[in-house]
Amino acid sequence: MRHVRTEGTEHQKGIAVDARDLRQDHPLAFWWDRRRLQVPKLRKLLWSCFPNLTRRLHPTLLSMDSPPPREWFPGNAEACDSLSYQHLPQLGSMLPHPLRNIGNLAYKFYRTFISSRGNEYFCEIDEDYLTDRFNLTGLNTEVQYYQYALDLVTDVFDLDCDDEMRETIEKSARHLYGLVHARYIVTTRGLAKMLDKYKKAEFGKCPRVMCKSHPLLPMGQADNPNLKAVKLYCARCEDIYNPKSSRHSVIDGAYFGTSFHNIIFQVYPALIPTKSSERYVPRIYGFKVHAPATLIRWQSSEKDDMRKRLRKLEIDSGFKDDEEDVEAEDSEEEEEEEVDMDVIENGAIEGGELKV
Amino acid sequence: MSSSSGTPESWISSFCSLLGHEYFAEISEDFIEDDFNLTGLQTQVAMYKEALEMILDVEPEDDDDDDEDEEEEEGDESIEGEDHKVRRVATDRRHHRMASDLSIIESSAEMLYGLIHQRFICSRAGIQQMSEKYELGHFGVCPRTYCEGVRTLPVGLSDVPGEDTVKLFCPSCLDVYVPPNSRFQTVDGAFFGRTFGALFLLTFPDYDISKKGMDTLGGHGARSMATTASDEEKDKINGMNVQNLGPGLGKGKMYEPKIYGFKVSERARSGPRMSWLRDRPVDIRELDEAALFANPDESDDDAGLNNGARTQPTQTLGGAGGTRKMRRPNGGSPMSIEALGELFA
Repeated sequence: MRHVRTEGTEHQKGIAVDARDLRQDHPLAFWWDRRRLQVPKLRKLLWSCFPNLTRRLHPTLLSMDSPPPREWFPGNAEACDSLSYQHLPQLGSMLPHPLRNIGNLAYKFYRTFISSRGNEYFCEIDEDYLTDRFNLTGLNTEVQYYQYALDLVTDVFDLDCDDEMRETIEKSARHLYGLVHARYIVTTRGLAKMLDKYKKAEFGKCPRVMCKSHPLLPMGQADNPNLKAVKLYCARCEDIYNPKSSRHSVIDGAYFGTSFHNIIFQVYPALIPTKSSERYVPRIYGFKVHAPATLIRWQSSEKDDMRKRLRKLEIDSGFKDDEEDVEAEDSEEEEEEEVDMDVIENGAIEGGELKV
Repeated sequence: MSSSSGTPESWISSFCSLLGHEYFAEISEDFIEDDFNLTGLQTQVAMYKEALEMILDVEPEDDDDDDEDEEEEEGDESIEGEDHKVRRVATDRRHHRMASDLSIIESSAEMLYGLIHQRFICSRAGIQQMSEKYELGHFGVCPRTYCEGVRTLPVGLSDVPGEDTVKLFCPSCLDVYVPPNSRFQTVDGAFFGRTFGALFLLTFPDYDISKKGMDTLGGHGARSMATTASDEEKDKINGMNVQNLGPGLGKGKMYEPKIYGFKVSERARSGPRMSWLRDRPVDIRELDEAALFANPDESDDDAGLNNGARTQPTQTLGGAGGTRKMRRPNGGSPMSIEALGELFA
């Protein structure tokens, strides 16, 4: 294989590859992002980049049963079609020498990928943060097989165990990672990383129409694990929403915590969006409906009270249309008429009946 | 008129079973065939007649004669003469209809169907059909966490086609949301219209709108509606059942921002500013503006107990003159009391 050369002498089990030899668009190219990758280090790389895998992964890798992309096996394009990822570990002999281990690794990597789908909300925790015991205070009681899990996360795990045990430890490791994550994202560096993701709207956009697709932030309703799933906070309407996708709605909310999304706006006050009084008013043939309209009037008087309070204290209320609009809105509403329930029932519905 | 008996599926049902068209109700042919229901649509849709034929699965070739009769009955007298000439040409042309024509007709048929649909779902038959779909949770659930997955209704933000896509109206928080699936982003909001959402709530006042969408999958949809209707607690406020007026709002169903367990103060730059949007008076009677106006004394005690803290700052801020009694009923609403008095006295 001419793209990759082996340096077997350097490390018995290692693959050392020169990144320059590889095409940028090769599906495995990211493995060589960091040069001279070593096998024991591989898992660490997979782990540490797992939040980003979906972006980097080949688009054909959608299900465990689909065949691997042909370019993974340049010599055996035909054979490739009849294979699935389950076969990868047995593919060693089919592969050119430097890729011999990759069959195994790709399989493991793929497993990691599958199990990490939906982890787009997480950011990568710095290694030195993870290794500082102070940051892990109290977590040993929270996580099963704490030491093994920590080893797995920091990639010094070398226990020989059966698959079942390994799975348990991997689960614990994920749990541990999540709990550390909640602490990490309120640190300066963590906030900056999450801010990046927020700006790219990687956590989704607010479903509320009047928020005009404002980006969301992940949050928990409890700081203790296993209580509530992750929710998404919109800074514009200051409300919380359920994630759209079911693979996100199973993430524990404690992995983000109850404070992070508020802290980020304290640290970066420039990010606070301007609030809008725009809202939906239920109408029937252009007329407001009485019951919701009274509630809406009550709510806007609450809002005006708040704005008057803040103005008195000379605090910016953050509304775009500040000063004179408070009064203007009131007079506008008085002009508009509304329909009462009875009018609708006796009038419009029977009007509809006539049409049929 | 040749009807759809030959084809296994009518245009309407195949249209409604298309991906992304899950929100649509199947309009009954009677409704479409009544010209009164189509008033004014002729000017809004290109190739109106062909589109209508497509919707009704009328074969364009053999409808010539029927068409003539029909149009003579309905037709506008003033254009009748020239209409005849034009039709001769039109019938000839119809036989050589091109494939490209078909796609134009198809798209205007969709537009026409949508516009009729907007009217249909506000009629009795249509709203009934939509209520069945609502019962089964076909329109999805509210994404807001505190609404706890109540069912939503499809609405448009405009009655004019081409302005905005379909949105979901949550009766529990009285707000509108973007449908979670992107396939609905091709469906025009005007096909549902602004009226349907609110009209639905007033047409079926006895629905328990706080019921979760997941529960409806159990099956006994219509039953549960009947039982709630028979319940003796049917407190009404402003023409709506009390339990149906923003059940997802108010204390305990609002998000309170906290940092390490401490509430973020309103006075902070990043403090809460939008809590009013999800608020609801503790005592719902506070919204009964007519009653408050009719006996201000009684409401004085009520309001004093329940929202004294809230109305106090308003009074001190706004109150130059004016006695306590005069301002109190106004405290909950900026609306003029005179207008209300006329309406409800």
